[in-house]
Amino acid sequence: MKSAFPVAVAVGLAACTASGITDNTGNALPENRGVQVQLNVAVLLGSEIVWSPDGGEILFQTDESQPRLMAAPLNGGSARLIDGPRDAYTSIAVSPDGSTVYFAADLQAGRRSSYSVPAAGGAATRIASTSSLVARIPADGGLVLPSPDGNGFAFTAAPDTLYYSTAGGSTRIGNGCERVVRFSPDSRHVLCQRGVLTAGSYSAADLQTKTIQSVDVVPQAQGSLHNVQWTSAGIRSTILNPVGFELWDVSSSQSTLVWTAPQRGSIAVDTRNGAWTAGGDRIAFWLVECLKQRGFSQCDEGQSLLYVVQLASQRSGIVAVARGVQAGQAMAFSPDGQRIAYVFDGKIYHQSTAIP
Amino acid sequence: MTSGQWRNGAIVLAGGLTFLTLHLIFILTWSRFLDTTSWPGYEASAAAGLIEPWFVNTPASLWVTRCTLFAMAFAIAFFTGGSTGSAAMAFFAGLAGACAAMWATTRAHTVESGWLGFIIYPFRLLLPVVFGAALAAIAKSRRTRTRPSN
Repeated sequence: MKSAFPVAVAVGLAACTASGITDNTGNALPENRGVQVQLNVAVLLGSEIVWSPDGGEILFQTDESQPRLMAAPLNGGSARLIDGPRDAYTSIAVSPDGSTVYFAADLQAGRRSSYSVPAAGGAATRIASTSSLVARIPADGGLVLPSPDGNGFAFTAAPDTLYYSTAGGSTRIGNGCERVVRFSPDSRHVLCQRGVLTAGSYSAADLQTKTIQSVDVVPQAQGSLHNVQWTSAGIRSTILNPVGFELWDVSSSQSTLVWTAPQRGSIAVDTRNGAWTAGGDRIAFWLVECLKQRGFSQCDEGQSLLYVVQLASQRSGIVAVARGVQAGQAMAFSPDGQRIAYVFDGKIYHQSTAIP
Repeated sequence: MTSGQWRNGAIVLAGGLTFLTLHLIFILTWSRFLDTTSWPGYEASAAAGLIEPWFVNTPASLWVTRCTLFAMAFAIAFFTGGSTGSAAMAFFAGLAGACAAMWATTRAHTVESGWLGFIIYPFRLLLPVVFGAALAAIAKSRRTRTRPSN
């Protein structure tokens, strides 16, 4: 028996080699990263980036042993300190009026705390702390979510979800929620993830914990909650299948193929770092293409293509090209949706979202 | 080679043939699978005939694969001599090798898993094999206990 598995793997390797997987597989496109934001510090790999509501700054955390939360102006000038240093920042969000920055940080004794800090900088105020082991809290954020009307924010302290009013006081709006995903456009409900696959919607208005809908947001765990958006058109999710992206409408359970992947080379979509416009009319994502592959996991040369898809017309195009296949590249549309910012190689770039 | 090695080699071959036979059945009858069920987010692509035959691409094909592998793993572990664990491992090795080979030759360009599919897909076959072999081990132990001693 000892020889069985190596023999089977060898058959697989031989087949892969015969199929040409180790050959050069695609064509290099001219590099086009857009405008680089001038920074004198590197951006932490995997850090979220967040636009200020006026579109004048981008918030990020620095790549240091103790990261700092900083804001980089887009029209030149030095990045300014908002908070830090701390162990790490997640769930970075700015209030709709731009006056307050929310974030979660400080993993201490299995808990994580949420803070608010004036966007102009200053002392951070600790708002709340999670009540359970941090292992239950997803690493990619969702702890603090400001409501669109600016009157409060939701805080996930698994298993409870709390709504904090800016006027003071907090209310428990649900339990069993592992992460607040989105507010409804009218700020009266939150979309809440329970388990890996299921999301329910809780009422924040009447403070009851009724489930409005239960939906599979991430079938087969392909995709992430970056792929969910709640606009006046309803809750919609983009789901990656072997062909491309389908746009799935939760209320009608209807889906539409909005983007078909190019039939070339060795490619993969990075589903961890997608972005939606605030209005829900466009999505963006990375298509990572290996141009020169060695073996099965080693890519000697590749390129990352930033796609934007207009959902209604199903038009799509590549708005940025960066050489390299480094994963974990956060991106975010500007508030007006006209530009998209992204992280690559520890730097921030921004680019027009006009589809070529 | 010892008889045990011949036996395990035959089981590896059976695993490979099982996967290849399943894949051939999917190719020949794929339109029926697409008509029967679809994953959320696959409907429009399936209706356009763009979803290729592959065991995880519809719920029905995934369940057919799971049931088949469960039954095969049970049968092989129960009816062949030697240890249940080594039979199950040999069967899975054959499945994994065939799956990786088929993936590399027919599905290397899909976007939802990229080149990691080489690792991801074979391991999606593991669970029914484990359950089938576990049931066989239980059945074997019961048979041994109830068999009259001479």
